[in-house]
Amino acid sequence: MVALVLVNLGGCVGANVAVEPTRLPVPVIEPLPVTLGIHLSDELRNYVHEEAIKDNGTYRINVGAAQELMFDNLATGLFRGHRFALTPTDHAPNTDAILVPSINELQFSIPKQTKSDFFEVWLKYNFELFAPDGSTIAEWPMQAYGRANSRNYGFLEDTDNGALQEASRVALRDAMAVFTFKFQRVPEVQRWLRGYAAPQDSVSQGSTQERTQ
Amino acid sequence: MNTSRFSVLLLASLAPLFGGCVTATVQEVRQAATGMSTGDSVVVLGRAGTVRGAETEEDFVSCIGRNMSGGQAAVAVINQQDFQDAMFPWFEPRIAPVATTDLPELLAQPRMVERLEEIGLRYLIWVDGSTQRTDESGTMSCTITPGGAGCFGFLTWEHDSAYEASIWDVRNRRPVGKISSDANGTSFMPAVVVPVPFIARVRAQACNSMANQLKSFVVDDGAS
Repeated sequence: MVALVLVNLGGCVGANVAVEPTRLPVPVIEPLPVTLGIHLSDELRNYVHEEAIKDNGTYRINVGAAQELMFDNLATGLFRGHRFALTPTDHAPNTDAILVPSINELQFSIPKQTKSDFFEVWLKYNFELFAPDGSTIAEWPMQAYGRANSRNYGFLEDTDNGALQEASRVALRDAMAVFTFKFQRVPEVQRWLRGYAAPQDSVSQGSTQERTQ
Repeated sequence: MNTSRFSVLLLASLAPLFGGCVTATVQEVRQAATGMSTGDSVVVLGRAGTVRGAETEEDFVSCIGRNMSGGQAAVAVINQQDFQDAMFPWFEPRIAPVATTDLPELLAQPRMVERLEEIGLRYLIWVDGSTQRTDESGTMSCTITPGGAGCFGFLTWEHDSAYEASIWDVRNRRPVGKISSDANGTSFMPAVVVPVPFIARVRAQACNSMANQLKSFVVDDGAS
């Protein structure tokens, strides 16, 4: 008990969180009629953001470990078929294109910085879509945002770790949601998809609901 | 001496049970008839996630769900996170419908409709609002000496809860009503050697009032 109180009263504790690959569900959507290869680089799979905040300690956020499940579930819902590719040019005979995601940047803030109740995480992804001949079909950036309310954590709970982990998980869910609606709105992807018979334009119907953050 | 110390400690430990005073009011606006059939369920969702926007506390949302699914005339309540997972990504903060006019578009998704039928969702309840500390005053000082420790003073603070629930009939694709719950209360803590807190459970009172009203609202006998 005394130890817990001391932890809460202590200063430079920071946080060390890894987003657990849970609650990153398969999108409930009509799949697109394409089979994609997905290449996750080692850099992406091992992505860790580490940053020291003055008077608050060092914060370490590991989002790399959740990428495989995230893209597996995303592709399961969004595409007719998918498989993980070892390289960006690793085309199996029945693969229509290869998707290569990367994280350009992760930023976060803690309540003390923003004078709010929220831990916040921003993710900047970049996507490349390669044709079987190795040419680039499309390249586009994407941003995602997640936050967690520190007031959802009790006095004796480890708010820094718990809330930052939750904010990171929410950011990954947001990335999945944004990708679901944005993928076929990228003009070059739209043109590429015209070569495949779409069962119905369900994703673009839903996309009108996406709000700008 | 020992008896008086024991009395002070006993009073301190029991004080939170008595609590401060809370005043709560609930208002209801009905737009259409309601009712629940066997297999029907409801979900209670908190508004959340927009940058810098206010956010309904998770424990308030779960408190309403817990109270609606218990006691007399209990209704089946789906857990918020389970619902968001089952409907992913349609109820994520960035995507979630903000008005009932968004429902037809959402329900045009065949897989969504299938999933909604699987879980038997009849009513979607959006809860908006929060509890804020609105006022505080008083002073208290505590001293620790080799001979013992003690506090002297008086603190008082006030909490104000304001929540509104919008109830959507998913089957008939229309809003059916709104319920608002406001509560405020003053907590205080006098200290003569031992601080004795009298906590006004404002949010809990707002939750109980709203949950009871919501339960009777959705199971209304004059119903569909």
